Amino acid sequence: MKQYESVVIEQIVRFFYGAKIAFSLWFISLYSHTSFQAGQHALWPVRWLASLDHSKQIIFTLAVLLLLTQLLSIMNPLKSKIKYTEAFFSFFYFAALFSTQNLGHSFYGFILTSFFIASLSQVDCGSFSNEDLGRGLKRAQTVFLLGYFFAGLWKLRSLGLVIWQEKSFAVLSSSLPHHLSFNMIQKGLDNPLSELILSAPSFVHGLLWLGVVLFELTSLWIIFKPSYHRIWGIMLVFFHTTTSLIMNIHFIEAQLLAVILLVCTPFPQSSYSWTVIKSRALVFFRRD
Amino acid sequence: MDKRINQKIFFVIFCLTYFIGSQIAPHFLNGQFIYPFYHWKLFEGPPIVREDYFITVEAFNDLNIEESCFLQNCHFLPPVAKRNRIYQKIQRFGRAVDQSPAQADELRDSLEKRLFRDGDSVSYQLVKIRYKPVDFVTKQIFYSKNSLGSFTKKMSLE
Repeated sequence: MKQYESVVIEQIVRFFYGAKIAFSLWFISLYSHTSFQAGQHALWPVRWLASLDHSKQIIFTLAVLLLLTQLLSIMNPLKSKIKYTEAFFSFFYFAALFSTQNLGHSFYGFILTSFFIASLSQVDCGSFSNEDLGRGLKRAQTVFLLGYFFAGLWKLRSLGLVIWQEKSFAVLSSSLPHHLSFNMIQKGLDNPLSELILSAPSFVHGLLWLGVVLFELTSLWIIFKPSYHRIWGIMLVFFHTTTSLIMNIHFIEAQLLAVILLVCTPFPQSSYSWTVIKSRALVFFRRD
Repeated sequence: MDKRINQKIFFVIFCLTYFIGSQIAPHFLNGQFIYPFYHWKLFEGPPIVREDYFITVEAFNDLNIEESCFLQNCHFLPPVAKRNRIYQKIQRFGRAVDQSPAQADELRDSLEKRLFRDGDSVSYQLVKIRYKPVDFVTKQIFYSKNSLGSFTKKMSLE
């Protein structure tokens, strides 16, 4: 691995913890004063807390420790081993928050990838090499992209089942209007963009839905193509921006993670200059 | 062990863990997800006919309402009445009226507090509707409508 790549990875880890500190501070400021009364509904890592008298104090201490470990991690991103402790603290702290608050599930990406970002360690002498550094980042990218693949896989499964049962492809064009309109009922929206899409012809609905499913499924292939990570990251940000504008569903954490892990990738990227695209496209028409 | 093989083994093991944790295990736990493997059931289901609770406003202050209107279409109400999570609150209230009336009064108070301003005099109905979301949003068409009761907003003590 080249020297500049390890410098970029160091910056990526800094960005990662910077973003995580910002979100942690935001959640702590919102929920540190609410009591922990999840009871038996608490998520499994914090269920033992529910029966204790001082659960609120324990969670508050955990929040302070979490911030402390995050600050230590950002100070020396590739040398300190405290990143593992941070990953475990955030795992427990957010389990407690997710048990009682409706945070939205976009933050799960940060919790899962923390363990792999924690493995990014550079040791001058010893068993670790810079090659290990690149592998740790690739694992974090894999975990992040797998989420999209499974979302697509389950949509495909659902589409396949209905097509098999009804022996008709009508579900392709009726899925998007269904989800869009039910979302409008749930959120009480009168969004002109949603209305515009609902009024479009049904083949447009079919193409859009198929596009979403294929886009999510392609994430699996992208995992093995590091040279397309930057463009894919930009597309993911664009995808979430569209769902945010149309359906009022926000994935800010996932968008930020796409920028940190994919757009800022240190691995060599395919060129997207006009001459390269033209020459690639012309390959199909050339007759030798 | 060769590092490349190591990477492949990691990918396979993690894929399996992710798949079991997020997709298979929740089926055996009444659909509950296993933290931190979110089950990603976002917008995957096919279009179905739904049965939900809605609120229709019959009278509002001195306004002359000729036909009762669904909450989401009542333009004379403050915008908060159309905001996110009102839907969930109405569903909880509806289920309580339907199944356990003992809890309904408390839910009604909190719903009225969210929906209407102090001093407004409102009468409304709780209805259960069978509908297809697309038809309901675009054409206001539904299959059946059952009234579960008429309510008049409680006046605050002030």
